[in-house]
Parts: sequence; structure tokens; C-alpha cells
Amino acid sequence: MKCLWTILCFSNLLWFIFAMPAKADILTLQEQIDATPSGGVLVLKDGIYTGQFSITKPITLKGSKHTELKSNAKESLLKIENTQNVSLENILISDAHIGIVMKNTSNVSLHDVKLQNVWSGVQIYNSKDVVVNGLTITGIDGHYSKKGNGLAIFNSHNLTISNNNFTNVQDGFYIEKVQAITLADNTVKNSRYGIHFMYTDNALAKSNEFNQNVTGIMLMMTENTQIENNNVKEQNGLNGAGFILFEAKNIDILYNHFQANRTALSTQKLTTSTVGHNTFQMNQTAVELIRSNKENIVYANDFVGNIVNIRSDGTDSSIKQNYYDDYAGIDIDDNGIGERPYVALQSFGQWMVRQPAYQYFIESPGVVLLNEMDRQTNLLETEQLVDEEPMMHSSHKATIESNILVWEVVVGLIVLVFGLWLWRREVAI
Amino acid sequence: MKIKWLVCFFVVVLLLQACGNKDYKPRDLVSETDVCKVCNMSIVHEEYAGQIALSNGDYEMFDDLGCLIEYMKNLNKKDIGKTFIKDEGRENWINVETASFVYDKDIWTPMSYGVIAFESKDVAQQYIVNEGKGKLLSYADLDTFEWGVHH
Repeated sequence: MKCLWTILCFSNLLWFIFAMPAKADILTLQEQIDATPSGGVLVLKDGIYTGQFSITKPITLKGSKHTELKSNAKESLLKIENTQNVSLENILISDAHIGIVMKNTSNVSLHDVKLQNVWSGVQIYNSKDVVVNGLTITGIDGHYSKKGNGLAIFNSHNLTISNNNFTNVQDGFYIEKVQAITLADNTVKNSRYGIHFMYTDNALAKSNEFNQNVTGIMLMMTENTQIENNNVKEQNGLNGAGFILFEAKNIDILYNHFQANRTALSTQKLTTSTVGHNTFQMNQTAVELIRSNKENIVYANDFVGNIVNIRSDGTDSSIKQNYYDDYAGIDIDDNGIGERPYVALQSFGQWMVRQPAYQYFIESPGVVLLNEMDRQTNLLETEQLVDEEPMMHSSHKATIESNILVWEVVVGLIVLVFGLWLWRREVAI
Repeated sequence: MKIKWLVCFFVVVLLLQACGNKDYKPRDLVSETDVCKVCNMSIVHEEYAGQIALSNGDYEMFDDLGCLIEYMKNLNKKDIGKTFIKDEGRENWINVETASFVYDKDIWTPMSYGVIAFESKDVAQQYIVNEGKGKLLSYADLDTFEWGVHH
């Protein structure tokens, strides 16, 4: 019996020594951050860390498989301020009003950070050399007017924002007074604007996907920007639009795919810009040029299955070498260009620019008749919305991915041969 | 005889109504459908919104005071019934023509024009004192104000 008690006491002692959490483990997250030396790496164990935290020195914060940060406060959960060389990796932030706020920072990176049930995801102010990659944000339920933005950036420069995925926020990316920013391979769904540029210079938005937002890209008072290879689908609500460009200059809209939007591309007060090599497919209105667009060119685009291809309220912009599926001309010299000009002028399209409510009469018998009359009278139009060199063929080559699996074919053949053999044998008998 | 007097009374009432000024009232914002007439932005920051009640009974909505002023410049005066802007920090609509304004480059508005409206000059001045920033503007000043980003 004595021996049994001794063993029991000894085992208890061992448990106290080894199984009880060390002092470091019961430190709060803020204490752990404070205890990490500059340039150090803090690896957070699995668990839920509640509260508000602040980073003001160069450290790397790494989460484990189930590291979660939570906050009930009406402010930001994590602040990164007045510092540089900070990295955040593999962390889940939930139930916060604002997930992360960065102010006056440089060389900061966020990798694989997930935010869920947040009013606003990340806000960046007065920072430079920032990389955000693999950020996932799921906003709160409700109308977008009651939510904050996914990632909002103000007065900053040199940022690379890629492979992020946002849903249910106000604007996926709100970019205000930013210089030199790249947004690539991001997805924004069910929000107000996918990307909202304001007073930005030298931006690149490529290979992003926008689906079922009010507007895919809203670009305002912005200059020297490329928007390329984006996939813009189903912005088809009452005020829906693929892209809206307002008071912008030197913008290149190239190789984008617009499908099933109310208006695919609307430009207002746009100057010295290019719309080229895009595919406009099954949109209510493909391109809208309004309010004194100047020195813009719309070229080499494919217009397929749209109700109205191009409309304008009187524009200086030129259109050339586009493919229009409703072009009825012929190509005698076989150079791929139609012999007579294509005139995109539609009386009804022009009226819709002035009174958007007219869109509800599209394809009504009266409008169909009007369009037919336009087709006849347009033969005399020489100035507005005239493409002198319409393309006879779409530049878009349809590709069907072959998904035949060899083993399925082999098995099928074996079964077929066996079936034939069985049948012949039955017949022979 | 009584009927004659009654008819006369109604005719006079109708004539008086026709002579009187129309009473223009602001309408409620509808976040789902209202977009700024000038810049096309959805109006989600209601606290900066403006509207013009046109004399023909229509309303035009704006997300920022700057957009409203720009639109007004292209309208005939007779077409404008009344103009409204949201009172800073409060829910109510105030008359643009009698309001006072504060501008500062650090005041955020949807179009970053940095001008906000107050019901009276006193309240606007108090805001400037409290915040330690801002320049007082009158309605007449808005006409010559250089709208655009000032940062």
C-alpha cells in the first residue's frame, strides 16, 4: 500500500512538472508580442486569443492550424503601426469590427490570413511596400450599405495584392490616393464594387474575377492604369455594370471578358484611353461612351450576343476593327474586313443613355421596328459610332477541352467486345 | 344660393393654392437603387448625401455635396425647386442655400471633396473649434470653390 501511495505521489509530481503549462503559455497574446525581440518569429499555438492587439516593431507572427483571434470591441482587432518588416501568416480572425489596421508602415506582408464575420477586413493608411496574398474575407450578412470594405488602402504606394478572395463586403478593394499598386488573381463576389479606385495613379488590375457585384471595377479620377484579362460576369442588377470609368485618363482596358452584365463598360469623361481585344458577350449594353469622351479608341473587340453593342451621347471616340455579330456586310477581297462600314448607332440605345428606365422596353415590338428602321437609315451615317473596318470573324477562338479519359475508353471497349462475344456465342448455341 | 357660395369658396381656394409656392420636401434615400446623378456611385454613406427636388416633381440624388453643386451649375434656376444636404453628424436634411459649410483636406467625403454642411454658421464654427481644423464657407463660396481632391 505504501508503495502504491509513493507511485501515486511521484506520478502527480511528474504531472505538475511536465504537464502544467509553462509560464510563456499563459501570457496573453499582447505579452507574447511584447516579449518577442525585433526581427523575431512568434509562432502562436492552436487556440482562441481574445482581445485587441498591437504590433509596433519588426516581427513575424505565425499561426498554427487552429489559431484564431477574436474581438468584441467596436474598433480594430489588430493594429500594426509605425513600424516596418512585419509579417502575418496563417491566422484566422473572426467576429471583429475591423480585422487589421496598418498605419505608417513599410515592408509589411499578410499571407493566408482569413477574416470571417467582420464589418471591415483590413485597412491600410500611409504605408509603402506592402504585400497581401491569400487573404480571405467573408463579411457580415445584410445590405452592402451597412458594411465596410474588404481591403481599404489610403495614401500609400507600391503594393502587391494577389490571390485574395472576398465576399459580402461593401467594396472588395477600396483604393484611394494610392500610387503603384498591382491587383492580380483576386475574386470579389456579392459586394458593391469589386475594385474601387479613387485618385489613384499607376495601377494594374489583371486576371481578377468579379461576379454578381453592383459593379466589377469603379474607377474614378484615376490615371495611367491597365486593366487586363479580368473575368467580369453577371453584374446585372438595376445599376449593375462591369466597369465604370469616371473622369479618368490614360486607361487601357485590354483582353477582359465581359459576360451577362447590365452594362459591360461605361465610360464618362474618359480621355486618351484604349478599349481593345475584349470580349463582350450577352450583355444588355456592351459599351457606353457618355459625357464628352475624348481621344479614346475602341478596337479589336468582339461583340457577341449583346442587345446594344455601343451607345453614346455624341462622342469623339473612334471605333475600329471590332467584330459585331449583327454585321451584315460581305468581304469581297477576303482580307477579313467587311466592305461596308458598321454603324453602331441605335436611336433606342441613345435614348437609354438619357433615360435608363427605357431599358425595360428592350425587344418590345416598337423597339424592334425602330432598330430595323435604324439599320436602313444607318447606311447614310458617316460620323457617329461608325466602324469603317468591321471584322468578319471573331478573334476569339472557341476551345473545347478534351476530357476523354483513356482508361474509360479502354474499359468501354473491353465491355463492348465482351458483350459482342457473348452475343455471338448465344447466337451460335 | 348656398351651393353658389360653396362653389365660389372652392374656386377661390383652388386659385389661392395655384398662386402659392410649392412646398418641396426631401425624399428618403433608398440604398438599394439610388445612385449619384453625376458620378454614378451608389449612395451608401447617407450622412454625406444630397438631393435636388426639381420643380417638375422629380428628384435627383447625389452622394457628395460636390456632385450636387456640379449638377446645379448645369440647371436652369427655374427648374430647381429646392436643394437639400445632410446635416453633419445628424440625420436631418437641411436647405443647401441657407446652410454653412466647413472645408478641410482631411475631412473624408465619398468623393474626397472635403466639404461638409451644417444647419447654421454657429454650429459650423463650433465644429472648427472642436476639431481644430477647417475653413468656414458660405453657399456663395461653393460656386467658386475648386472641387477636386486637395490632398
